[in-house]
Amino acid sequence: MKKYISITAAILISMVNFAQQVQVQVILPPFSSRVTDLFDRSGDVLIIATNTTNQAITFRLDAQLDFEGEVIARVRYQDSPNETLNGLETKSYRLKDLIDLKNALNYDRSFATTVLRSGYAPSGTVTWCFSLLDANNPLIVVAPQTCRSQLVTAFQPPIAILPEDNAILNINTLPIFRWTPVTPAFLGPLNYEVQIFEVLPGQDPMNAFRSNQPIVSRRTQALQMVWPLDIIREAGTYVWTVRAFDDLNNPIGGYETFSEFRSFSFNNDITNLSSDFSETTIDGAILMSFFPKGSKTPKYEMFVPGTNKEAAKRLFDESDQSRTYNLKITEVKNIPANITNLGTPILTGSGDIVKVVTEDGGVLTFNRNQQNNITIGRNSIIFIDWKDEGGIFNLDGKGTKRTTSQAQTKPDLL
Amino acid sequence: MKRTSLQINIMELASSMWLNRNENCKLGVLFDFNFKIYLRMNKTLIILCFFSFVGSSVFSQDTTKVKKTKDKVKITGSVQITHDFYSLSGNDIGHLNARRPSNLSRLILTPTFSWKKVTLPIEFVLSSQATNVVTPASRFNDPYSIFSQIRSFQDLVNYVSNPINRVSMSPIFGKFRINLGTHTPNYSELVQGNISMFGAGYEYLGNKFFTSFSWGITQPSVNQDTLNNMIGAYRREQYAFRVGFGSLRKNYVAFNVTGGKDNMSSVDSPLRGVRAEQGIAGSLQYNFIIAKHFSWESEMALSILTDDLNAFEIDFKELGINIPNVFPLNLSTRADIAGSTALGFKKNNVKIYAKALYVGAGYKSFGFPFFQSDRLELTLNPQFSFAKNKWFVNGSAGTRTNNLSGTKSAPMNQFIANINVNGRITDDLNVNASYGNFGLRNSVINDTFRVENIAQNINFTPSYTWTHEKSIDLFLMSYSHDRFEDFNVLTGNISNNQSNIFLVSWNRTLNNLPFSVGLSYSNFQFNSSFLQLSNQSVNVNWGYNFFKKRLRTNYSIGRLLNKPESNVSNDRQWIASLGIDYRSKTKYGFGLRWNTNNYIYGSARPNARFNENTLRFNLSKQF
Repeated sequence: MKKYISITAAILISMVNFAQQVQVQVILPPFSSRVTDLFDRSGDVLIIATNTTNQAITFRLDAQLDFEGEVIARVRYQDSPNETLNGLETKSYRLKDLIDLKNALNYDRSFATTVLRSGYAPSGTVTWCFSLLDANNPLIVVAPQTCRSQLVTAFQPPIAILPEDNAILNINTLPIFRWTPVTPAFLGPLNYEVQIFEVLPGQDPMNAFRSNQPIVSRRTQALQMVWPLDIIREAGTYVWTVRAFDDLNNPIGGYETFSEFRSFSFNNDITNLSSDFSETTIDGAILMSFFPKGSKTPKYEMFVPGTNKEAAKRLFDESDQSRTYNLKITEVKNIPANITNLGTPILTGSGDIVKVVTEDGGVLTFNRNQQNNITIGRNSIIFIDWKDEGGIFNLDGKGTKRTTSQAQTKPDLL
Repeated sequence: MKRTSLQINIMELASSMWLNRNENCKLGVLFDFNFKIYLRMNKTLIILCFFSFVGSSVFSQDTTKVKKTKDKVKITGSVQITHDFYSLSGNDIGHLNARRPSNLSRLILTPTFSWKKVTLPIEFVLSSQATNVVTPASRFNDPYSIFSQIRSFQDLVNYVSNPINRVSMSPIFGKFRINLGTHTPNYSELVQGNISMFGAGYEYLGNKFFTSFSWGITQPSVNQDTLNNMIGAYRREQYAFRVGFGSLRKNYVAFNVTGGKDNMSSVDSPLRGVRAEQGIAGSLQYNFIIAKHFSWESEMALSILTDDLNAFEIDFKELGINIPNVFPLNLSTRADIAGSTALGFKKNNVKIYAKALYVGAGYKSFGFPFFQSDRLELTLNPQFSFAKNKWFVNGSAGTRTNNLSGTKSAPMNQFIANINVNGRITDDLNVNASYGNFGLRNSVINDTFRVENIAQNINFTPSYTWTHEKSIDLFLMSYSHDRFEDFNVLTGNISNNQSNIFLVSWNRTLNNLPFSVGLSYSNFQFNSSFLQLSNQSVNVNWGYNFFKKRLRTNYSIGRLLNKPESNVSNDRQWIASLGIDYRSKTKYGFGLRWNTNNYIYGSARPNARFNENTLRFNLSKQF
């Protein structure tokens, strides 16, 4: 019995050796670890076959795609069409021209389960291996297995860091924009593109980001960018984002290439809030006007940046009721619509305290003769010092105004 | 090289049209034109006529209709027409692009009709240009391009559903609200938030029950035009639904869902390089006041997304994977979870807020189209005040870990902490100080693959108010120091840097005259191994009000010396602005703001210079 087996094996080996008359080269396209790309681009795998004999050879393809040594997909011999190479002929085949990948590929269950959550293959090595087998007998190897590997990994696109969301910047100083690098470290040249959009009146940051022409669009290889020196800064609200490009000008990243945008505002001077032109130049704010008793002309005006549009609108509608307390919200400018559905605010309080409670728990509280903490929506905390000294509205009782304001990005639960 | 020019005559024309209440043009006539005639007309004139007509129509309502229905219907709101002119001209400025459209007209009309318990807010925000994320920059230079492209009803739908525009009507009947047109259903942090829809929906907000539904277009279709570098977009049709029990002010439980699909038949031919998506996301969300001073809110979400409707199909059941067959499943389909939980504490002057957020690598909701996934964030935000609220301290500390899925090689950790102290030392002296620290690193030790950097920033800003009989003076000084260190051996040398910013300003406001003046100086120094960048600026501004503050004017002029890199001479820059704002007793308003930027480059770009002008004016009426 052993004798027959040995003879059979010897015959097979000699057949195999005899049949290794086709040389195969495999060229892989650049893969990404995005699974759909991995399979889409597999169609562009180039197989160059050279018949080194004088006789025509008809073969079929047997191929498999490995990830880190585990087979994740396979092109089966029986699904592969016959191809013929004439003697001494060299032909190039694209995989998608040889087979219908959609039907021929068979997926490994565990791999499919892995990528189902993320849509990405884990970072690692993918390998395409190709064998050419005789069209009539799969045991006859026309060309031995030839493999090519490629390291694939997904990249974390940059994350915008500074200025932080809802930051208020002094217009007289140059802001620095900063972001995280692409990770893992990208070995080729990278360019980061920073785009800054102006939020126009009536827009929220999202719409500005999706709609407007960027007023700044600059590229740099560094991880920060100083506001371009030759571009003037105008008061208003802006959004900024960053994304990375490789040397072929392809954006880096998977499903998201842009960083999440951040908004910021330029104010002339936060302690000098009675800007005469604020209505046309400062966005993202409500304007609160302080009235002397019995007067219809505002004495002081204060902008509250980053407040809620819907709430602010409704507060404006309630302005007559707040006049008793010498506070009137008279103007609503382009408020970032961080939160829009607050419902109708409730105006309560008497005597020295007035409160405005919004549906989400945001509170406006004014205490006479002491510092007032005001919270509107979830994104703003404003501090106002003021005292009412009878006929003349003075914020500190000395005929002076004193307003300080500070935006707070922290959501307000209570 | 002159790229555009200011068209002051158009502004004057618009003003005259405004004042003459549309004697030069009528909306009805405008729409009676066929499009050939329409296109032959001066587009600028048309749009200004249109805006002017709409504005004056509203005014007419204000003065006639309201009088007739004085006791029944109340109209409040405002209308505003804005127009921006922009020009950029100069020599050797190929590196610069026009930063704005040369012409941009906008109408902002926000009347609210009130009658008994019924309120009808209406909002029109219309722009003269069709711009969005899939529109190339070159189109921005085509004034009123959109109006020449509206040739069918579908074009009109695309125009009004463009995110640059808002057209909405939201009648409110007590606790019930109907949303028609552009609206932004905002449910939660993970499912439905900051994307606006053009469509229809409702909201009901009761004391113990609330629900809402919306359907609409979140992205209008755009055909691909490779010649003009337009990648195009499929129309995305989206819906959102919410139902909840309890009060949004106190305790509630809500179920949120949002979903949508890119309509591949919405464009003339399939878009190369653009994937059509379909997805759905849902969440369970709750908020409880768990004790006297504590509240707790959480959200748990699941999303299923087919990232490419044309991807290879997979029989998931054959693979033994059971996921709901809610829409076509294929190789690009992914399902993942996200969750957040937060605990808040508030007592007297102390607030503490702690939060955890997890977003799986495959989680995506159409309600947040730019949401970054694959991360875990932990944050803590304390704040408190003391000394009779004269001192206020707030801060935050947080970590963020990216790449939890391992698809991006090594995980990356971020650490962010900052503290801010604001104190009123005396009635006149105020100080503000802050410190921020940002750190980032991955777990790779190899120096070439190592990603590790630290950024630190410290700021100190005292201000003093000097009050005397005739004026108030405000002195402010600010100093910031920023340091950035990169520990990667390849990139560290070019990334390490430090910067110093010094600012001093003085403002005087007269008590007896409506006059104010300010002066500021700032110095910015940025140093790294390869770049020394500096900026010095002096700015003067002053303002004067006329006619009992009805006419307000302000002016500013600044001189800047910029050094964009070491070993070059300074760039020289003049900037100036003029602002005029007039409000009549009858609540009509007119505003104008002009900014100019004159820039002469130094030896870094010899012979290069440019002049940039932006002129913005607006007409408004409150009613």
